[in-house]
Amino acid sequence: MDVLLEIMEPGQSLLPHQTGPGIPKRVVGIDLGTTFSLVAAIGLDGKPLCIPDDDDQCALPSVVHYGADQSILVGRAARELALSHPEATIASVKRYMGRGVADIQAHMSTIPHGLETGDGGMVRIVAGSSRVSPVEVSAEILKALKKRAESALGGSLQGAVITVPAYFDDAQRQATKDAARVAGLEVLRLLNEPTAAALAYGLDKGSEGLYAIYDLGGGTFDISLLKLEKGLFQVMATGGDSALGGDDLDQWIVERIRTETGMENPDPGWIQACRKVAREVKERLTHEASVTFPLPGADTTRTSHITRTEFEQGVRDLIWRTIPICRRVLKDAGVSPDALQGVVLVGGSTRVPLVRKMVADFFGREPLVDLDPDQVVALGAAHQAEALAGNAPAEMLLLDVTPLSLGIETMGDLVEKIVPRNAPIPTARAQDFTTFKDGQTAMAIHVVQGERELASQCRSLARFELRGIPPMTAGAARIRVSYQVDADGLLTVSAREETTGVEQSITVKPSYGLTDTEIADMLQEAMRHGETDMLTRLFNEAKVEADRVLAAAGAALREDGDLLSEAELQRVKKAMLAVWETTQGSSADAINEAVQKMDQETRFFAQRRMDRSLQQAMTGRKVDEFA
Amino acid sequence: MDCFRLFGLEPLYELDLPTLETRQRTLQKQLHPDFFAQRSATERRLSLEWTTRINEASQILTDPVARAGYLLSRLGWQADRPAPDPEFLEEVMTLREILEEVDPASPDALAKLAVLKTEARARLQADQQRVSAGFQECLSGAGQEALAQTARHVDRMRYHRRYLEELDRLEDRAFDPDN
Repeated sequence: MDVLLEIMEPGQSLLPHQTGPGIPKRVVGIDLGTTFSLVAAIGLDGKPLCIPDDDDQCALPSVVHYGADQSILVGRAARELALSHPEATIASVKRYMGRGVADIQAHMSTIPHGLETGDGGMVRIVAGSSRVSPVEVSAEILKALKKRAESALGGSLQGAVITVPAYFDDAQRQATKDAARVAGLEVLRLLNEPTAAALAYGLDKGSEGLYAIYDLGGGTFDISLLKLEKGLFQVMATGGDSALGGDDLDQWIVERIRTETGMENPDPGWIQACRKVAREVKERLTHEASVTFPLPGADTTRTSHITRTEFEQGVRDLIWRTIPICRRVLKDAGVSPDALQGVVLVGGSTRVPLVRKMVADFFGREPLVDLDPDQVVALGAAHQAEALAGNAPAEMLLLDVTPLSLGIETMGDLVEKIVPRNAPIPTARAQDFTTFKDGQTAMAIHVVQGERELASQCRSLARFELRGIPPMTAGAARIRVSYQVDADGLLTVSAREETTGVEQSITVKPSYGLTDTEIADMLQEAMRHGETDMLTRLFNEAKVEADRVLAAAGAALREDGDLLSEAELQRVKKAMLAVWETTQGSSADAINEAVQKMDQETRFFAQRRMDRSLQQAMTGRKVDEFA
Repeated sequence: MDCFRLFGLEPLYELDLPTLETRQRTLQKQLHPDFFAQRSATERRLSLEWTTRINEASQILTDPVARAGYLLSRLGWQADRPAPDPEFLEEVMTLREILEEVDPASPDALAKLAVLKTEARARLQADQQRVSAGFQECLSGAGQEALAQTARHVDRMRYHRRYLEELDRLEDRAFDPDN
């Protein structure tokens, strides 16, 4: 016992095998894109680099194929099977994340798959003989990137920053986080794509001032306005459309071919073949004024012809949809276009010349295109992962905002906004509601997200049933509903009856999420395909967390050990030792329990450290002055 | 938690906004969850709570309307709404009529809305000055009547703010009919 305690003396690494503060953690940034996904890490020179596959390709096509023999293929191999096995091959799954069947059918006219509704409301895709959730499909893409990164970095990953469109709603964010969990990745942070791009761009160029990041990807559009300063990148306002991107430009070409060939009810094979042609035509039109291309179908000699002018006339309205959004973001931030230092283009679809022209016309300046628009998001995410892992000195602070207003449905389908859009996160807001019937003991709460005035036109996030309100006369109860948005942009709702102080029991039913059973099944399924079993994985996850907690405590003792009396120091060390002992066993539950106990035992220390931090921030001012 | 004390500021309506911004930054750089990702669960939770408080307080203090509402409650003003002022009600009726006459589809809608916005901003500005003066009186010991008078002006600010938001919505529609 004494020996072990000696090893844990401040200043020394805790235990020989352990990742101490001096050893950098293996972390990555992941751009989980609609058409392509990338993984990046910080190289030896401190600069971020995309990690290529064996064929030296960085971009992994976001395509997953489900074989009849239960095998799963991801990337180019899967994309090649899209033509021969269209029903069993899923592309652009990002457009399905956190969505219901009706949403998807409203936004996409030709879908090569059957769609069903899962237990938690989120769509299920019929892929050959499998029924898969978009979360599982995304998890396969994440697993492929994880594997690639682990072999390049020489060991298992200790965390990842995953990017999401800034305009993703709560359900889409939660689905992305669930996908990482199924893939066995620890999410250090969900980072907004334009913010990640700004980080990479700003750090690379040393830029300061106001910048607009115009990000048009395969399936999503974001525009963010950021103030870049030394040590601080602050998002002023953000806007977008999470169902608008290069896929829609392809779709216009698909429709044109469909009309031209008189195809009435295209089969999945035709749709996939046509999409492939459309993508190629769009890319060629970037450099060529007109393109002759083979028509999809049995007759390989049939060709068609399209000019850039015709294409631009056809997609002008689609691209124009981004402009009022840009205008509103400038307005929200109270900024005119001439106050900007630059407009940075991100996302593959910004290669389309008409996009560049319309952006240049609106902002009154030529946009900046000097960083690879496909890679910049992943590179920014790698920077942030490095900072969050504590590998790099935390000098840069990123401050982001909520993309959409969060509200609650009130009577008559109206929305009461609780958190406004563009509120800096993390944030918390509360609103009081009352009963409208005598003796009312329950209340239904419907959480919505969006800018429309009618609840039915906003995104439904969840429904709550609030029970156990003490019976009172109508209007006497005061129910405070609190919304907390964390640094990932994820929402937690709680409710409390204020006159009695009773915290209300809440049952959450996400509108387009996954049930706990669905997630458990996915984890099981993921195990079945993997090399490890469930118990081993749970143990490994618990052990990683225990190691992290021990390292953090070791660092805390080194930095602020002087805040503890000798007796208190021994108490902390005893709790640490108890955790360490469980990591030598084989039970995940034992570790989790010890970690939790250690957190309780050392809470006073955490509080004192926080007070010291506050004091440092307030130099010369006393903590109790503002606590 | 007192919003002013959090940033070490005097509880006044006229604030030194650059100082507020600097102090907010200093606190963020010490307490933001990004710097606590590798810490214990308790420290992460405390960091989240403090950062949330900082954001909340700075939102209240930087917004002239929210700051006025906050100062009112801090000075003990109870009523949600002061008794309506008949003169203002008349003004509201006139403003409403003007708003109803705007057709966002007409070709001169944007120009018309720009003029209306300038006027609305001027009214908001004027009321803000009255609110500022009112708070100076209240803080130097004037009684309940001064507080009620200030509350009425704050209410007018709220109205003008909402009016501006409606003009904004019309402007969005004039710019993009699909909106």
